[in-house]
Amino acid sequence: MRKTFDDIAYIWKSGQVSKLPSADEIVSSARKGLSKIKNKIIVEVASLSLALITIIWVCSIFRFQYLSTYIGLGLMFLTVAGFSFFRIRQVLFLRKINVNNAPKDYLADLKQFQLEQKKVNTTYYTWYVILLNFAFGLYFYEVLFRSGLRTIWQYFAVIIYIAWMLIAIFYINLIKSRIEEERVKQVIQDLEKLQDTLSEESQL
Amino acid sequence: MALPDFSSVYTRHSTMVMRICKGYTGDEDAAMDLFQETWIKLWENLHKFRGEALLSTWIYRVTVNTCLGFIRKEKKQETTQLQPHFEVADDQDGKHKEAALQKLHQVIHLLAPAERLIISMVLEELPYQQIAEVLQMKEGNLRVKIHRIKQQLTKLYFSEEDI
Repeated sequence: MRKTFDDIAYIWKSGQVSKLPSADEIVSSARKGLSKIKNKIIVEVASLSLALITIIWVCSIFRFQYLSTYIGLGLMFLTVAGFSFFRIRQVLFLRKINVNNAPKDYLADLKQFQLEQKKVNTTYYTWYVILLNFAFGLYFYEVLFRSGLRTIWQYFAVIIYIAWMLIAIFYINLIKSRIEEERVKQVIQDLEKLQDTLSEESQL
Repeated sequence: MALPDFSSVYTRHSTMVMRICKGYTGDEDAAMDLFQETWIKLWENLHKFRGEALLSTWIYRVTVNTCLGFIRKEKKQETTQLQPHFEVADDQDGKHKEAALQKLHQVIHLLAPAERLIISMVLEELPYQQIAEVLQMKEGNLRVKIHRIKQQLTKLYFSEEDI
C-alpha cells in the first residue's frame, strides 16, 4: 500500500498532550521572569550607586594632595557608570524586540542584539577593565607609593593588585572575549540560516 | 476592542502550541521550555493584540518567533521549570501510536529549523493563507516550499520504515 503524507498527518494528530501547566502557573512564571529582569537592572543600578557613594565617601574623608588621585576616583565612577549603562541598555534592548513582528524582522532584531551583546562583552568590557585598572593605578599612586610603602601589607597589596590586573587583562579577558566571539559567530550563522530558509527565493 | 481573556486563550490554544514546540525541538523537556517561554511572551504581549489578524494567527506568529529565537539560548533557562506530563499509553495500540509519533518527531527534526515550523503548522491543518500571513511570505512561494517539505518528510519517514 502506498504511504502518503496523509498517513503522517494522521500520526501527528494521534499524538496526545495532556496535563499541561495551568494558566495560573504560566502567569506566575511570567511574573517571576519579569521580577528577575527588574532585579538585574536593580543590581546594576545598585552597583553604580555603591561606586558613587564609596567615591564621595573617600573624597570627603581623605584630603588628597595630588590631582591624579581625584582623576582616578572620577574615572572609576565614569567607568562603572558607563559599563552599567551599556548593560542596562542591553536588557532593555532585548525587552524591546517585538515578538509580534514578521519572523524575518524578528530574526534581524535578534541578530542586531547578538552583535550589540558581543560589542559589550568584548570591546566595551576590555575598555572597562583597562580604564578601571588605570583609575586604580592613579589612586594607588598617591595612596601607596607617594605616601611611602611602610608595612609588609602595603607591599603585599601592591603585588596582589598588579598580579590581578595582569591576569584580568591578559588572561581572563582574552579567554572571555574568545569564547564570546565563537558563541556569537555560531548564533549569527544559525540565525542567517533561518533567515535564508524563510526567504522567498530559498530552495529546499 | 476588548482584550481576550488569557485563561480562555490558553485553554483553547495550549495543545496546538505544545505540538508545534514538540515538532520543532523533538524533545519533551526542550518543548516544555519553549512552550512556557511562548506563553510567557503571549501573556506579556496580549495587550498588543489589535485584532487586525485572527487571534490564532497572532499566537502562531509568537510561537514561531519564540521557536526561532530559541537558537540563541544557552542551556540554562531563566524560566521556572515545570514538569511535562505526557500521556503514557499502557495498551498495545497506544504504544504503537506513541512509537510512530516518536519516530515522526525524529524525522521532522532532520529538517531545517524553519521547515520544521512550517510543516508543524501544516500538520496542525492551518490554512496556507494563514501560514503565509504568520511567516509574511507570498502564498504561492509558500505552497511550493510546503510541497517540497511534504515530499521530503514522506520520503524520510517511510524510507526509514523500510530499513
